[in-house]
Amino acid sequence: MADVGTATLILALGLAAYAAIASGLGQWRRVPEMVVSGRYATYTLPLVMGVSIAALVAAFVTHDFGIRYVAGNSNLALDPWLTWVALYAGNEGSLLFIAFIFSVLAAVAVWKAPAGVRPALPHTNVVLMLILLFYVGVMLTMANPFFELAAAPPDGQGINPLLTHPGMFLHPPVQMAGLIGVGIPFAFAMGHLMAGQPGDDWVLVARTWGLVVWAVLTGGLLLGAWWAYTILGWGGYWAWDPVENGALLPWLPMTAFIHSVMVQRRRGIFRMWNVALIILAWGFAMYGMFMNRGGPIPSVHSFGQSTMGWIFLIFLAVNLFAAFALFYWRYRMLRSARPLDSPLSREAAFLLNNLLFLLVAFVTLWGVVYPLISQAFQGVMVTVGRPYYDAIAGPLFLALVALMGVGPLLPWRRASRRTLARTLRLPMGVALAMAAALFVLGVRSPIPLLAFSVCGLVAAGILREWARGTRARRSRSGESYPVAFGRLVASNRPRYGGYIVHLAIVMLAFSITGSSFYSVQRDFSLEVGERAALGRYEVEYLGASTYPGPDRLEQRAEVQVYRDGRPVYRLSPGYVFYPAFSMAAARAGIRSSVVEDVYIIASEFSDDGRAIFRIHLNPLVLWMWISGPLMLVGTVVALWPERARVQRPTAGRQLRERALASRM
Amino acid sequence: MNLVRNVATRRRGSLALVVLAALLAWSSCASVAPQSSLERRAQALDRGLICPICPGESLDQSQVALAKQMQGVVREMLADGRTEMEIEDFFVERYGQAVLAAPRKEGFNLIVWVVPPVGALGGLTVLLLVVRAMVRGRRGQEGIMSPDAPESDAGLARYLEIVDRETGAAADVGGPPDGSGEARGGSANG
Repeated sequence: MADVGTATLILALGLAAYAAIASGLGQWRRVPEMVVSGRYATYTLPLVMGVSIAALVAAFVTHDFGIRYVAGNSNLALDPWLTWVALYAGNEGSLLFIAFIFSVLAAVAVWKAPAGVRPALPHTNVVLMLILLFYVGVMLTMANPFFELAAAPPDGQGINPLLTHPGMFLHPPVQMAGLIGVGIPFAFAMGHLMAGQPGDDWVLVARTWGLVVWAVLTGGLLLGAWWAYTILGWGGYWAWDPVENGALLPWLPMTAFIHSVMVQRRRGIFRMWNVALIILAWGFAMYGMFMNRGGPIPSVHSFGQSTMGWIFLIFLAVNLFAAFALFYWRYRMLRSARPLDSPLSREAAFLLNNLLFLLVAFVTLWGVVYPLISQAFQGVMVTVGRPYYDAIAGPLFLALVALMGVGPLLPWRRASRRTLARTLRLPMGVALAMAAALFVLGVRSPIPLLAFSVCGLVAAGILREWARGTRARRSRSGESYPVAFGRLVASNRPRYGGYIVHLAIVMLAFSITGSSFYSVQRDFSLEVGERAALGRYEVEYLGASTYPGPDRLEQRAEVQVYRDGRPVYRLSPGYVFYPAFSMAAARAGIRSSVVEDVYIIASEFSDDGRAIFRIHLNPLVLWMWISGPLMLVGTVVALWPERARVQRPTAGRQLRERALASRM
Repeated sequence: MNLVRNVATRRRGSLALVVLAALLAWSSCASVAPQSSLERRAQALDRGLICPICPGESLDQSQVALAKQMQGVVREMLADGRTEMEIEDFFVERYGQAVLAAPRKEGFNLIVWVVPPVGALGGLTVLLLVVRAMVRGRRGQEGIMSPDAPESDAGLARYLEIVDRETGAAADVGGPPDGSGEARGGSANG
């Protein structure tokens, strides 16, 4: 098994090198056959990497503890379902996983490349293959998943207990796919620069891949938050941990990018912005992968003992240097012909959008990097944690949400102040009404008040658009409301998909505001039969039980929850001890409702029959989990291909807009 | 008549939404009786202190015994009447500055807090200047070719007619056709 695995890796290395050389040389020397050959080599790579992954899976399934990676991440007692998690649980396996995913994405990207980017495709292929070459090369030289031990131990170590949670079946693979996926639009951008032909064709492929990768990255982040919330036991979902920041950092320029390419597609401006944003996103993505493998700052997420971070840092530096060199070389090609018409326009709003996302990235990076600066200049290690990010990044995020509400209401090119005021009247009214209502009901703190009002503003704007559009369709076609709405969405998928995603973001902001400012927690020490009260809830300790397992010991407490005096449900918070890892994983008892979560942790079971409980009441958390699938739906709608319609000339559309606008 | 009724329905609809959202937000946020201020201060301190042996977890996040002990010490000291500053200093003395979740706003560490707002202001200023330069450049380009409003409505109607014919606008089924009332920008692609 190990031989098969290593052999396929060597084969992959050869094929990737061949594909890069054939494409590059073929393009340079104008030998079309070589270019085609290079492309076919790219297509074979997912198959080769697939065999590699299959070999590792087979090794796990057959308990081949002669392979160091298998011994380190599984044992005889391993639940077969967990083989999937064990695949990427460690450094070497995750590298193989990333390389496999990337080989698939690269092959699909090259295969499905639209006609407009064909001239630049060989260059793109070179970049894609060089990236793959790096990962396969690192595996073969430093982190071979098929490395064999001198003597096979009788049993493996087992998988890290924190990974046995359902969230771990999805979060790491999705997150890793998202991070490496940024390489695809990046490669297209580099291909476009290398080919040197001015034009905006690469925007089509940039938009499609950008949206797909963005959705995957967002999914990774939300899944990670869900995992942290349900298993880490502190009742929170985001800790501004360096590795979490490493995953957030690429998401920020990526979000700016998918918006900014819309402007390039429509107006042919922001070319430099878009190239710079995708380079930054890729740089951050590689930085994220570096942080996970032995970065200088400790984190709950890192693969721990690996010392190979430096090679990723070098790769990062090489990529950034090459990318910016290309950018500088092709600077003139990227200059925009048509500048802005007015500071009050959608283009300007997108410009502000870009700036805000970059600012958030900057302050996040600053927070991550500052401890190193302090160490270097003061010789003192400091921590830059939640208080910093809450104070500094919070307002920027709020500004972004507000912009998300106002931006889509701005017309392209130029907005008249009067029209804008009229369009904003309803959303502003809703926001003010919400603020007033909340104030009267007892929400006095200014920041949550502002945040909720902004959420109201954005939601009002979106829902009004939907209501208007549906009503207009109905008046024309007489369809029922649901059908009219469905057809409305189908008729303009990018726009309505975008609205759906924005609505999901509002839910996310709503959830974060509620849970950040109004979460309460209290510790109680209870005897069996005793009750504790928090808010309108009471928790009664019913008793504890112990469940021994082959490699673990589970202790659970049964509690009865009362709301307003009436019993409502039971929860079973507890702990699972893993002696082999000397680690305990919390199992919180969680009950979610749209209003709040009741979150109970049983932290200590003492010999005299008492147990210590920490009870959290976390408002609005469920909305965060609802927003995830909704964002996915929105992205799918936005990407759903439309029937080929008559291509209307853009100029005609612009003339019409301008004529209508100038009526005001 | 229809228009008035529509407006009224719309207003009622939005009002209902406002009330619903506000109730949801309020019911989740105001449902808990205020805790003792001592406990609240203790929890704030828990969030502001980092467990020394855990990788970057604050006291309220960490599950290890040391963190629980430290939480106990915090509560004891608060009950004794110590201030937040004194308690923080106590831990800094023992574990170093890294035990604070964020650096104090003094001395060298002031730059952590100052650089982001300064950067933000700088960025916004640059953006404003760039936008202004772009717009001025645009105005310079225009010269004779003024794209602004044609004089009469009749002229405009004829103009629109030509545009409609050329662009096959009869096939236009997308976006809010309400666009005649507002300059909403293009119907497709947001």
